[in-house]
Amino acid sequence: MTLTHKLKSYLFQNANPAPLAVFRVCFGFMMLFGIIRFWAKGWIHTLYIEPTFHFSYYGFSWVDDWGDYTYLLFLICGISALLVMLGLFYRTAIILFFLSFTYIELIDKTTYLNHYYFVSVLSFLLCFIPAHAGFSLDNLRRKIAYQSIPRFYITSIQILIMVVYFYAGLAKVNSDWLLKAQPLSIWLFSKYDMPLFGNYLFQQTWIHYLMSWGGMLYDLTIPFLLLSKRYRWFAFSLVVFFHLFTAILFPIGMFPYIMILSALIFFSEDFHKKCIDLLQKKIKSVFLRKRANSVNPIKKELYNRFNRPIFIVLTSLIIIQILFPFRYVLYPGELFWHEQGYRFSWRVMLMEKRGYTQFRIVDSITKKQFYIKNEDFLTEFQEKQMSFQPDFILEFAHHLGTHYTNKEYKNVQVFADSYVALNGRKSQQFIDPKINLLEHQNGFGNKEWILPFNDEIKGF
Amino acid sequence: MVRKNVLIVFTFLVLGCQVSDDDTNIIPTNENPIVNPEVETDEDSSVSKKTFDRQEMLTFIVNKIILPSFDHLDHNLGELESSFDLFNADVTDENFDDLRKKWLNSYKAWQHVEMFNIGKAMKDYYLFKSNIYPVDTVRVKSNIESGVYDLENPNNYSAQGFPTIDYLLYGLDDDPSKVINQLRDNIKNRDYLKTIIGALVSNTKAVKEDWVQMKEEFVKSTENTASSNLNMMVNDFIYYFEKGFRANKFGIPSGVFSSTALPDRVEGYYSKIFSKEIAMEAMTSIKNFFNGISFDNKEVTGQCLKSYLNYIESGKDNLLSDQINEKLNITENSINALDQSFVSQIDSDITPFLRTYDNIQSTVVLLKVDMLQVLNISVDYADADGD
Repeated sequence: MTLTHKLKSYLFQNANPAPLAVFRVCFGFMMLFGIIRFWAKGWIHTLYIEPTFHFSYYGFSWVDDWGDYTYLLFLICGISALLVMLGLFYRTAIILFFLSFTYIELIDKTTYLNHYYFVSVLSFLLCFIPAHAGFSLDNLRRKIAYQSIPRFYITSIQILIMVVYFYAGLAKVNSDWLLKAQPLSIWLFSKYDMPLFGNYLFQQTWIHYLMSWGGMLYDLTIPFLLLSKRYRWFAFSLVVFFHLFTAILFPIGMFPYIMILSALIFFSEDFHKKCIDLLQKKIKSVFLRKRANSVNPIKKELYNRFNRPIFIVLTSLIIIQILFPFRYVLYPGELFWHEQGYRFSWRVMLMEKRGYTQFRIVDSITKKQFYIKNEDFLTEFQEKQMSFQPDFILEFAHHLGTHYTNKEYKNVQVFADSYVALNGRKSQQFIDPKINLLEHQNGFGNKEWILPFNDEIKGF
Repeated sequence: MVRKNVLIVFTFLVLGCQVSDDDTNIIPTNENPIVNPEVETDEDSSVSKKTFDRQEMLTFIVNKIILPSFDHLDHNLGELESSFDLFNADVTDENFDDLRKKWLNSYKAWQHVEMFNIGKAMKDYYLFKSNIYPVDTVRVKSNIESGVYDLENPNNYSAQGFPTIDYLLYGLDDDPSKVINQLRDNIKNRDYLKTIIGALVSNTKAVKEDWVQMKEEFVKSTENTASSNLNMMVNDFIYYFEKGFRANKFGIPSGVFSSTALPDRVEGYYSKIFSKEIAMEAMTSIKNFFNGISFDNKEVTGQCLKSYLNYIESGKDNLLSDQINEKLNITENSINALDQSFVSQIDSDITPFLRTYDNIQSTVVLLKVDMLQVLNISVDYADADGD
């Protein structure tokens, strides 16, 4: 048998739907919890409704908040997450979830987080996957439970998670991370107030190096350790340890818990069947005690709805995921500095970057000029993010240009005085102060008005 | 096979962690003369001594800078109040000169406390009640006329404090020589002056008392959170430098934010000739805070932002604290070269004034970008997850 044949027979062999079911329940639960948490912290208001101006993704400037109805958007998102968890009207629910969640993320790129992007990609993937084939309310509703599904549905989720880890690890293979232990040196040092470790251990240089190298090796190897039957439990305990550790150290919200639960997808069918049995018993003992006999026997079937288009969609999604993070090689200069191709590439917790950016409005004829106050237009969080990201700076400059032109200012030009510091280096000027930013449009072209980085970072 | 190798590396790392735990010699010896001089005298003692004592820094700032500054201000305001009583009883040129002198002294003393907008000062809007300019002269006049007003009302913040006293002592009449007549002839003017001086005195006493009360607890809050006193102190210092010092004293009057110069926004606008003297006083307070120089005695120094930065950057050359001090000195020199009246300076030649602003601005970059990066302080941004 050739390799392709082997691969085909592996991918299309019948697999138990239990891993998908457990994954679906965990995913739905985490998303529901995430939405409730976000709501409870008041972030819907402070991050989406309160700002008068949103930083848009290129091509998505039509996405805007819904004013007070933004809460409705989150409600839709939360309810669909609940339905996904229950496996009720699964297809509609997961599509709704993907659309509403992604819409929310597209409103303002200030809030961009790799794990939000991960959720968007994963929920898109789940739109094509019959995660309700087993252990779902749809089974009861339709009176059909499926005993098998083609294996590649499970494999595609596994590959996505492997890509996330592996690329996060690859991104750490750079001279700042490995040879200077940056930015971990800065971050760990500032955790002097942590009980037990803070004031001693985290102040030690060798700890900074140990954690930098350990983090890199963890990310690069964990996907393969999870795949191997022999080391799976070891790998999973590493996953739990690593993510809980980062959860204590850094303000990264739900991400550690999502990753821990997601890693369960690597476990065997038997493991998942046991999980489901356990869950079923619990549920029956709580809900169905009295009418245990009224449940109609469910017809068991094979899920034979495999079709080529879906296989092609999932395969292309994975190929895109593998290629997309490398788009940065198309841009000259230092990636960490200009950040062209930085997002959507699983570059997680990789930089300590701060900036200070002020804008000058100039009348090109009279040369009269004045500085604007960022806080008149942006929230503090937006200002912080804007100050060191070139696409934000350009977009804000255009917003200012339009604002002052509309206010009857003549011959408006917008210049930026911008200074940025990266990974413990001294600050240096970031944007060419002689460039009228209104003459440049956001897009995928190289941003030549970013001043070159005075140093070199080697690696991925 | 590959997997096995990886595992071996991992185990090695985990073991390495435990082994080097006892091996404290790995840490490079700290060559930092400023921090903890006692470390160098007994080199063999435990390495953990080399951690920076943040509580010691807060204690120095509170005991040697904040409290003496408030004592000094309180004392000067007391003199201002007695001088006013004398003047109120006997309106003579001599008493008027003394009153003006005492106002200037207390205004200069104020420059040393403005940056500490923490605790009761913040809760009671002490800063707003003391030094908002320009003065709302329309409001002042109507308050004087009606005699009924509430100084706690935010609309009256710009109708009290040092700038309003400046207005009443120097700007009440278009003819400077006639100001004293306005005060002599109209008791309502003197009543208002009395009230706002009294308010300054009692507000200052309340804030000072609060510092005395809370100082023991205050210095213990040194964790790295947005609400810890250590971080609030650092953030307040930067905020003051950027807003109170950079924007209010230089940026706004020079028209940096407005395309035309606004000389009437100068601090001490009515007396005019003291604007430089006041700004230099603020400059001194900034340098003292950063370098940990005691208010009462320039020879006494202690833990401060400079020594904290030097502790973190020990072993590096081109220290950030040196860069910051260099900028601060350049700024000081450029203020020194200005006319004693900023209004005259702006009217005659604005360029040196703008250059001063640029010097301050480049210091803001060092404080807000470089220093905050080194300290990695949580700034009070809207809290949200990071990744």
